[in-house]
Amino acid sequence: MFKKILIANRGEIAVRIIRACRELGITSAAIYSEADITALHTKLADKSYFIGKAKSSESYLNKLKIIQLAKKINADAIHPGYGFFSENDDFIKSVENEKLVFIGPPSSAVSLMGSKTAARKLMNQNNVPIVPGTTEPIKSIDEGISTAKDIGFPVLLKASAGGGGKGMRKISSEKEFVSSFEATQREALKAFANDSIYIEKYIENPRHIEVQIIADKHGNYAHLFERECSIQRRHQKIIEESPSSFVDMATRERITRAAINAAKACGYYNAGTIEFLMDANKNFYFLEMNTRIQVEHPVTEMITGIDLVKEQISIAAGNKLSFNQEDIKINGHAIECRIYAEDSNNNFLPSSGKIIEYKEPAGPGIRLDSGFSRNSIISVYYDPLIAKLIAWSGDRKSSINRMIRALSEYYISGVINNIPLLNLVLENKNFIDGNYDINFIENHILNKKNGNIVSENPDIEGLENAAVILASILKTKSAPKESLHSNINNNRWLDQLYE
Amino acid sequence: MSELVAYICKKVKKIELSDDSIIKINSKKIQFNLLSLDAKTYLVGLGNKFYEATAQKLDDEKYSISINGKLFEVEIRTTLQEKARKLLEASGSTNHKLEVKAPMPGMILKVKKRVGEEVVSGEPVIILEAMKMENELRSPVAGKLKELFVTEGSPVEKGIKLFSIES
Repeated sequence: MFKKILIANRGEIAVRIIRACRELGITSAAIYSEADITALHTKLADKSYFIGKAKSSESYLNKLKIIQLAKKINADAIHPGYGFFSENDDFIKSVENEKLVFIGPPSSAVSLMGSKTAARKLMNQNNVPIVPGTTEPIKSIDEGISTAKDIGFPVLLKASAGGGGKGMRKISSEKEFVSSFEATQREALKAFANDSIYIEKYIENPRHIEVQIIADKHGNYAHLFERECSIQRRHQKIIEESPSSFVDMATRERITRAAINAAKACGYYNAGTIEFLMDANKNFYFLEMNTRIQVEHPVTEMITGIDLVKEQISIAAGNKLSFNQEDIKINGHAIECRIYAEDSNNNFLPSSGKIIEYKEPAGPGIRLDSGFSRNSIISVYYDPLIAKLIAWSGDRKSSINRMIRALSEYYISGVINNIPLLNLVLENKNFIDGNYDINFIENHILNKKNGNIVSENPDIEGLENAAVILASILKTKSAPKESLHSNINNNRWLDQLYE
Repeated sequence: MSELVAYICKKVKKIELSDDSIIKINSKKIQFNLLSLDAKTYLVGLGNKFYEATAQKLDDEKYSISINGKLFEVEIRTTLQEKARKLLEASGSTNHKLEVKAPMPGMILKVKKRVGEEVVSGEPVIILEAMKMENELRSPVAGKLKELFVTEGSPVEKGIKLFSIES
């Protein structure tokens, strides 16, 4: 097993990896940028190393510095987390060349799957169904328009190197094509350093179903069932669950088999996810493979009891899978909410700033993977994900209720967050009945006229009054009276100590 | 007793503050209990319900207040200050000018309109890149783009004036 792992990431996933390392008795080495000196991962790791300026390109995306650091501190392996270098085959090759171990798949599988067009071609050859569209990047705007006309509008423009919902746009008509094409190219270039684009037919009202797979370097493959991630905004997931209420036994059998085939087709090892779109008739189409640990991996961990990050590390060290496929059963139901610093009433505009007060939920069946604490800064330089709240219970309805309870205990102040939006989803009858698709937020939660969320907190009057009272006191008096409890002399135990 | 005017969620509230525990909001008498826990955090009790609050002073007339995690921006003035502000507003130009400020720090990726151009309400004027996303900043009203304070490629801080619309 490894002695020391360098974690080339930040936020909650860096914290998650530090925790796995600690349980395995491995020294964790974190990196931090100028903006992250007060971040949780910086404080929690066994060792933390300054890596550069706040801008990602000078810190978490500085390949040379990261690899040099890993060598200098004698790390055995690098865990990339998700995002940043996790799906960058060039980075993986460099790690491999330096005789370090990359905790993830081989660079060959990442290159194959990293190009969405090559992946589509490969899946097509291996009997994994794909969405109709091109299997080559579009060379010009004219070619794009003619292809789009052939498949029929609406179409989706997607970055060949993309993923995670970034670099993707829906086009409903020819006249939107040019500006959308250019914007997608710009976004793709910035996010993935590659501006090639391909076209897919836009599947109407699908559900997003994905399968967690895991494989070792000895040719053993297993799946850990499906996750449903249909609740999305801006094409990015905000609520994920496992198992899916839509997938029946027969469909589960078919989709997990397709996922294993997909993993075998690219010679995969380590943890990976095959994403599918599923239409109302339970037909599914390969969307992409994510060759990394996913943000939403905890729901799978909760229902299977497998620690995916520890398994990733063990596989990278050359061990066999710690379980057989037959040993794994679905136990209960788990749901995850992504807590984002963003304004649901303002086109999901990210919010940045300092977390002034912060209280985490707890209690039965609750797990919180968070990268922040009180006084942490939500920086403008990175993703606005604050934390992931996961609820587990025996069945779907009770895990939804448990999640609503936990959200009511979660207190974050100083930055705007999406907890009110999450509550609206969890309390919506269509969601509770399992009657939804990837357009649920637009169709059921947002007001069509102004894009704001449909209903308000039932106690809005109380909240507003409390705010007005506090403002009035602050405006007219220098400070409100202090709480007695803040005064240590009033501690009656202290008196007894000196008696 | 202090008389104040507060603006919260686009609503006006008339306030009469008698002492440390009684307030009238729009003539409705409310008994409250307010405790300071530390420099920025408070506990507000209204009847049998307690709210956790934090406050940040933005300027002399503006506070950012979070109640049970929900963020409010409260503008608050004494009745005298409010009268002065209204007078000033009335003596200003007859055309209404609305300034749009940067909601977060970031970089101006694209300016989609030229000064003098007509815009409709909700039309994107600037694309601000922040947190790895392209964010469209739209005109809140219909009118003419009167002033543009930034150029493409320039970084902006939160609260910086971006453009103004004359309606």
